[in-house]
Amino acid sequence: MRTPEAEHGEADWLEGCRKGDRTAQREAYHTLFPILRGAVRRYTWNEADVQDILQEAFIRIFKSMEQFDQTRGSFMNWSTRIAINTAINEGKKRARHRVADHEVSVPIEPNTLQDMALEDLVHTLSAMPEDQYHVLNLHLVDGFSHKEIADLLDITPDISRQRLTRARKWVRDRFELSGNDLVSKSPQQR
Amino acid sequence: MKNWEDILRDRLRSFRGPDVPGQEEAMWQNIDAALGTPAAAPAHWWHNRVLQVGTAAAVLLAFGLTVTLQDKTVETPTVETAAKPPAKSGTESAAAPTTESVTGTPTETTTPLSETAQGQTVKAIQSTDIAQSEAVEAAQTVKTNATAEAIETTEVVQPSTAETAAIEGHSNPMEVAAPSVDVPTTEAQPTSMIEAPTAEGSKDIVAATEDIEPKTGSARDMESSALPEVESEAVELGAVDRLDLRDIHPIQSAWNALFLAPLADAEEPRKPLAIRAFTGPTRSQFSMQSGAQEPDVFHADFSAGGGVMLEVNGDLRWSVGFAWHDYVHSLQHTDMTETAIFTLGVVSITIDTQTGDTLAIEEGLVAGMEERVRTVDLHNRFRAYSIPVEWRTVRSQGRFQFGLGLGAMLQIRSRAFGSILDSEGEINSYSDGNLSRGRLTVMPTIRAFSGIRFAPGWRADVGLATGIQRHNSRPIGDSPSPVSTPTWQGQLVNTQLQLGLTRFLWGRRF
Repeated sequence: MRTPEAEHGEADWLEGCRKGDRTAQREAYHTLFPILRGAVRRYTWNEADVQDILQEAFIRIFKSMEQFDQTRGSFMNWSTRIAINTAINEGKKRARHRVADHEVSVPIEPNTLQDMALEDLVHTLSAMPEDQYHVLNLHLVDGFSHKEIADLLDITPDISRQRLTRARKWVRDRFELSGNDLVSKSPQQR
Repeated sequence: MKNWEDILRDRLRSFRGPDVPGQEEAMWQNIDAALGTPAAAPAHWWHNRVLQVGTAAAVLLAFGLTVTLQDKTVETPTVETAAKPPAKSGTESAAAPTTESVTGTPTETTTPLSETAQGQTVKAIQSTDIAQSEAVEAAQTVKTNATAEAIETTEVVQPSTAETAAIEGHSNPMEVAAPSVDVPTTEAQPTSMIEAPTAEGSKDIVAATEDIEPKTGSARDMESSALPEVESEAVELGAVDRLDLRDIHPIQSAWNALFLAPLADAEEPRKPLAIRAFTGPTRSQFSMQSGAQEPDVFHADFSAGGGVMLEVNGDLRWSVGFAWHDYVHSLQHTDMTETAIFTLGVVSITIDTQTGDTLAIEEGLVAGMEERVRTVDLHNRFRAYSIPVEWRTVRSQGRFQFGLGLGAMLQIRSRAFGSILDSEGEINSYSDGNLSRGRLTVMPTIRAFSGIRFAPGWRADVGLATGIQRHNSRPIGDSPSPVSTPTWQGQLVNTQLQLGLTRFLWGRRF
């Protein structure tokens, strides 16, 4: 829950960012940085790429402040979407130069999802085919609709749905629900 | 109780990744440099109040100048023609028109029309090819006068007798287009002569003016006096009673009788029973309700249906019957298959960055993914026998009836086949075995209709009926547990254009 003071402070630097005030931009940058870094890291594994994408995303955010419409959503969501769009588009560019995909095989020890360290969880999910993983993230975590995903990934909404189904199946094959937790299955159970 | 998606969502949303010391500040330096020097607020130019006021003033000034210039455009030639009387002789007073002649140059000029015989000023812009008028100078003088007068005539609604005389005598706009028409020289004649014209003169005037100017009272007088025979015929026709004519020539055709029969037919006592058969095209639209993500895969499609109803027309109008319907909706989805392809290719190239030389090329198995995408259009059929029950309210007007029916249709599913996309995007079979275990469905319906009694005891009607029904799948696992939920839940909106034919019973006519 955000406090009124925080909202008031955000309103101040938001107005300053609109006017191009560098102090306000710096304040916005420090507020957004950890959130956007987390979002970008979910889409890009390489740390050098994360830095490039974040830098590009922040420049886009500050240069397109005029387009931000406060009535259509929060500044945080708007910025996160720009960062995700940048990450996806950068990923497309880099994929063109990639010679071959390497299947990542990550051994998963039986563990609950709640207890699993986030780094491990993301690392585990990185074994999922990238196209399915992106759709899972975009739809399940970031709340994109299939139409938005289709536009972003240059696919049809049907294909987005199919990838989501396959991603769900991938997770269900490796985890099982136990009470309020998801427990990873052992390789023999799969 | 959380499901695995909620757990995964919460975990991934809180993911921030490991901190890299100094990364945040270093990146800000880069961003700061990329953004450049702090610019002033990028206000749009129209936000500047001075510019707003200036723009408004400029617009007003431009508008004022335009109006002023337009006024001058009209006024200026008047001054010029005053200085050169021969050039505007054609627009001079009609009191002395025939002595003037046009001596203009053969260009298209803007000539202001001047005073009429009654001293009224007509300001209008008229394009006159004066070159043509050089050949017939005297005639042109009259023509131009006549045109000026005609324009004025359209403005005067009820002219005085003197004005009417002048208008009718002078105005002959047809002459401009057809100079060969002989203009009667009656413009200078007194009013008494206009009221009692000769037959030839009045016909000429009427023929020339009827297409353009509104007829004045005297013009109508002239027309009526010129056509005495026609008027007398009309009076005779008006005296004929149409019903008498019909009696003389009785109409045998039932179709004609529909429209000519007296309304008293509608007052006949209502007959208690009728049998109505109906048929028509059906339109069905399926939509997923539970967990539906995108509604754009299901589309409406068409089929047909029909039935028979027994209508009871007592104090309460209701009907019950038996029907069969085939409802079709379509599913359009994109099917994708992925196939892994391994082929020999270049895995890596090593380049000397200093010299640009290629040092090594590594070849090996290169993995690729082949994606095949196809659009599938499936037509899902749902067939059902049904027992429709309907209560109606009807308004009659002559032989026509308009009504509204409310009711329900007890459907007994007979067959279903096709495919369906569930809420998770998986294709499932749409068949009798996959739909809900109970074959009975109740569909509330509403019907608007209009009918016509086209023959004794018969009525034809056309109407639009629509209804909504639940349309669910069988629960997962086929278990009869009350907590088990269907794989998908949806609804069908069924519409039918009904063409009906009714035979009334227990009465000779209805």
